[in-house]
This record gives sequence, C-alpha cells and structure tokens, in this order.
Amino acid sequence: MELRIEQLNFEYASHPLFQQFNLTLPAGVTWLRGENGAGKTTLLKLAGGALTPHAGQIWLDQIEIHAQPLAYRLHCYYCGGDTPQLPWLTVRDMLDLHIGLYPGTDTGLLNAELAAFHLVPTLDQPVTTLSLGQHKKMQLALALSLPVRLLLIDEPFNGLDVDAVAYLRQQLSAPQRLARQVIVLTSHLAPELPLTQTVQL
Amino acid sequence: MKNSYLRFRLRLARHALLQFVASLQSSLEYILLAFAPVMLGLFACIALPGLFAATQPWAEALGLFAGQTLLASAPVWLLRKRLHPAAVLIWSRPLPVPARTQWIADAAVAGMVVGPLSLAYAVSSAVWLYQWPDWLRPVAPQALLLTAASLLLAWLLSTLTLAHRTRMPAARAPRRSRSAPVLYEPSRHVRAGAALPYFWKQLFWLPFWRAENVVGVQQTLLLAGALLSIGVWLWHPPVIPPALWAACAALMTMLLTDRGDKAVAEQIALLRPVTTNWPLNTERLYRLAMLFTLLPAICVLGWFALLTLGRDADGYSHTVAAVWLCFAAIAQIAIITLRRLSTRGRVGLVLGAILMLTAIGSELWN
Repeated sequence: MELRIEQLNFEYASHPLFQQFNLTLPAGVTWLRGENGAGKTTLLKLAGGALTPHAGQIWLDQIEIHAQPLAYRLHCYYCGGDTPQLPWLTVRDMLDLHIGLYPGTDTGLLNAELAAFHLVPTLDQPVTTLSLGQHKKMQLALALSLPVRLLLIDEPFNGLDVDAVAYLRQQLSAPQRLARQVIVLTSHLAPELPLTQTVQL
Repeated sequence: MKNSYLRFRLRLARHALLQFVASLQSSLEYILLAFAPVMLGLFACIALPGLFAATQPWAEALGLFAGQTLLASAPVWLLRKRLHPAAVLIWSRPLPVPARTQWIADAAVAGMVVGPLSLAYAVSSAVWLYQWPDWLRPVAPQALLLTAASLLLAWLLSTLTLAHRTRMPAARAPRRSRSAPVLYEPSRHVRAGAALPYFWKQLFWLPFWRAENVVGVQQTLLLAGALLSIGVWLWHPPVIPPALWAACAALMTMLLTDRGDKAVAEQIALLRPVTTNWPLNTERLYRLAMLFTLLPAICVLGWFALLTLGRDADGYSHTVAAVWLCFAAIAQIAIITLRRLSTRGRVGLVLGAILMLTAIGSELWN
C-alpha cells in the first residue's frame, strides 16, 4: 500500500509551492515538517482531494485521484481545520453524515473512540458549541474509525489535553493500523510516533 | 471610546444601508419603470392615515396612530440584522462601552432610517396641507401633532429594537428533557445506507431551519400565502375584486420559487469548498436540491388545478385557468433552469412573470 505523488505542480497566485514534485509514501506514519507557509497543509489538501493540482498525478495504490475521484475519496480522510464547517449540525448529525459517506464504518470502534475522547455526552450539542479541543477530538474520532487507507491529519495534537495526546499516540502507533494505513501528519512538534519517514518541505 | 464607538456604529449602519440599496437596485429599476406613477401616488399618501386620525373618534384614531407608528418603525425591525450583524454583536459585547453610549449609538442608527422616512412624511404632509381638503381644515394642528408624535414614537421603538438586539442574552439553564446520551447509535437512514435524499435533508433542509436562518419560515409563509390567495381567489368574496387575489397568488407563487432557488444557490456556494473531497457525487446532489426547489410551487399549482380544472366551471373560464396554470409552470421552470441570467435579467423574469400571471388571472372571472 502506498501514496504516490508524481510531477505535481501547484501555486498560489504566482507563488509556486510545488514544481515537478514527486513523493512516495508507504504504509505507516509520515511526518511532514516545514516552516509556516512551506505548503504542508496544501500538500495534505492536494492528497485529500480538497484542492486540485495544476498538473501531476496522485495515486493511492492503483487508484488515481482524477481518474476515479469517488473511489479515491472513499479510501481517504482529511482531518484538518479548527472551525466547524457545517455549523447547523449537531455532533450526532456530523457522525451520521460521515457514516453515510463511508459505508462499512465500524460503529463499535467509533463508539470506543468517542468514549476515549469523552465525547459521548456532547452527541446532541451543535458542533458550534464544541471547544477547539473537542472539535479536534470529534475529527480524530472519525479519522481513527473510518475504514480508509489514507489518513491525512493536519496538526493532530493542536488543542488536545494531555490524556488525549497520549491516547492518540497510542492509537497511531498500533501495529495493525500502521500495516493497513498510510498516515500523513503535519506537526511543529516531534510527534513521538514510530515514523516510517520524515519529509522536510 | 464614546465617539469612536458611535462613529463605528454609524459607519457600520451606512455600509449596511448602502449594501441593501445596492441589492435592491435591479428590482427598483423595474418597479420604477412599471409603477412610477403608482409609487408617486403612494408616496404622496403616506402621511394620510396619520392626518386623517385626527378627524376620527378616539378608538379609531388610536388604531390609525398605532398603525402608522408600527409602519414607520418596521424598516429598522426588518433591517436590524444588517444594521447590527450577529458577528459584530458577538465581537463587540465584551468591549467596555458604557450603556449611555450604546443607547446614543442605537438612537443615532435608528435615526439614520427613521430620519429620511420622516422627511417623506413631511413632504406628504405638505402635499395634503397644500391640497387643504375640507376634512383637514378644522383639525390641521392636531393632525400635524399626531403625525410628529407617531414619528417620534417610531424612532423610540426603532431605538428599542436595536437596543434589545445589543443586549447580552440572559444565561438560560439548558432543558433537561432528555438524559445525556451514553452511546452513539447511527440514525435509521444511515444504517439502511444513506441515499441522496438523506444528504439533501442534512445539507439543504436542516440549515434553513436552524440557528438564525429564516429561509424555512419565509418559504412556509410564502407557501401558505400562495395557497390562501388561490383559495380566496377561487372563492371570490364580493368585497375585494378577484384580480387583487390573482395578483397576490402570482406574487407569492413566483417569489416562492425565486427565493427558494436563491437560498439553494447560496447554500451550494457555501457547500462546494467543504464537499470537494467527500466520496459523494455532489453534482447530482446539487441538481436534486435545485429540482426540489420546485416542490412548493408544484403544490401551489396542484392546488390551483384541483380548485379549477377538477370541478365544473361555475362562472369562471376553464380556458383561462389552463392558460394560467401552463404559464405559471413554465415560469417556475424558467427560474430554475436559466441560471446564467444576470441579476437584472432574473428580476425582469420574475416581475414579468408576476405581471403576466396577474393579467391572465384577472380574466378568470370575466
């Protein structure tokens, strides 16, 4: 299992970020490093299909992002952003929506993640009433339980309490997970995880 | 702080009013083109109820006075969310602004709307004083006093409206009707495999009913208004000419689809960046949402068809009813499908359809 980025070009208003960029990431955790504005989040969004590259191809195993967009997205989850994107929904609505989008999600596993992040009592709250940390936890609970092969996590430890950071590290170090998922994360701090590779942008 | 807060509120209100006027530009062009003499007549008559109140017994006078006051304070109530947007409220509540300064700012902003309106009342009053009708001669001073008092009261009401919006809401204990959840259970629709109607409900139905969104209520009122207008039009009570109900039915039916389609288009623009990486054929979902915009209008046209074509003609023309129905259906479809029309073109389409439907409908009982 691997994520392959080939000949990628992308720029923001005449500020080139990636030119003929190539990268191959195997299963396991990859740490994307770089200063602010280096393009870490942009690369995650490109790999997650949230941004369209100006040129190049992105493959997840044999699935190319533009040739089979729905199949690609079905195997990929981008976990990022600190503000609720659909502010009219409750936490329960948000979970339902993702279970609808990703058929085959193990609700037992999702319940375990929700319990570990102490999110079960917030199920009927609007997402706008969650704190920054709770919002991050909701996204991480989904990221850890959706049946995807590619997990893209932007600043996973931002806003989390000490217990949640320890739990997340434990989950992201689980050998079964490392064998079946390509996990790409950005972090300004050392993630303290068993890394497959580190990419400096 | 006092002057800077006041300046900020006045600039905010000026910006909001300019934006509002700009949003009405296309509609105003058509309305002035088609109804300029009518608008001028209405403008000249705006002070009439207040002046006339002085000639009436106190109960009727009070009713007219209250009506005029509410009418003059309505613009601020309708524009309150633009004059003091929710985001600015949340940001500015913790600022150390003295209560007196807040009141002055609210009064000044209310004055920016009630002031020009008072000018219109002054011009209208001058017209009536120049006309000098018999009924006004014995009560002219009282009539002018009543008008001035109603405008002052409208200013006060408008200020209170803004002050009420500015006020920090009292903390309320959450309702404990349900116990806290202990387990997450996916909803029935998701367990059965989520289909497009489920996503439509979550992304195009719920947002119009939750938080500060008023689209759901607005569409319900327009739908009820359209159904009611058609009902009364076909019942045709003797007091009001049926053509007036035909105009109401045309207006409500066209606005129902136009406003619904606009809300859906705005929601699609909001969802596009969020849903780009979802494993969902979002274009199909958006097409479904646009198609569903027609559902309320289909109900209205079905109701009209049931009341006219579905029974024996009793003094009205079946042919006119069929033509009205066909034209209304074509106009609804045009609103949904002609998405590349400019704002001016779209307003022209909606107003043109309203005029045509009113003209056709006015022949129904002839």
